[in-house]
Amino acid sequence: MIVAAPFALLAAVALIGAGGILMCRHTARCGLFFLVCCLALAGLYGLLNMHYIAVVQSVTSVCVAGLFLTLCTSEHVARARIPSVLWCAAIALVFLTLTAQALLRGTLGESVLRAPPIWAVPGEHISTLGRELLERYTILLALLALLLLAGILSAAYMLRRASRAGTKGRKE
Amino acid sequence: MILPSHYLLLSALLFAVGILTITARRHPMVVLLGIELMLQAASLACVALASWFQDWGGEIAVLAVMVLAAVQLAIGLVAAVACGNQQADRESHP
Repeated sequence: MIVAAPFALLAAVALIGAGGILMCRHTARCGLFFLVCCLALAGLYGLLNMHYIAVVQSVTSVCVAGLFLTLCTSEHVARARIPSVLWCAAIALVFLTLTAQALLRGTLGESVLRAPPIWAVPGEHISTLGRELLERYTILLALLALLLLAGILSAAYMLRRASRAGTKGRKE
Repeated sequence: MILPSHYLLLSALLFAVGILTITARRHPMVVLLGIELMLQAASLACVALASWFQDWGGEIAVLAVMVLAAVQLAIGLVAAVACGNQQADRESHP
């Protein structure tokens, strides 16, 4: 029962987030729903004792949602609405981080402030994962690093090219 | 008691919602989010099975999927914004 309640809560939040992406007509709000879904999944990873993956998932989802909201707000949302979107994102982040902290402790009734922080990943877990990555999956690690570098460089190049084209169009 | 089948069921549901998002929505950014949702669903299945079988391979596979998803979303979003700008330019200067 103790394990089932957090799972049910986080699964419901993840499904609500996914449903929000499908149903919501506002693009920026879709990004917020995606953030909620990803943070709920991070909580589920924590329940499975995959703490490192949970932390990486949280950080990645916040960054991805930030990128999404930045691009959306600069294109489609009026300036007056940007602060409200950012506030919604911050509130969702704080709420779900606290919830994940409480759930990682294992019991719902315990005080949130006494719970260990979500980033308190056991050291042994990380060292074992690092050893596995460097010993058995070295080529995969190198390929992923190359892919990440290529992705960042190509995205920066495309953005620069698009902004140059936009400046030229405005001048003409 | 939560079994891996519960996680796999949730993963299947999330995957189905991702497919529905791709087919039902036309906005390129939302379609990208749908693809990202499908990748997240696959990651959840990997993590659940890795936890059940006590295997590090699943966790490392999830790390790889996360990198792929981040790169895909970064390039996709920039491409979507660039396409949107070009379309807006064409509409303003036909």
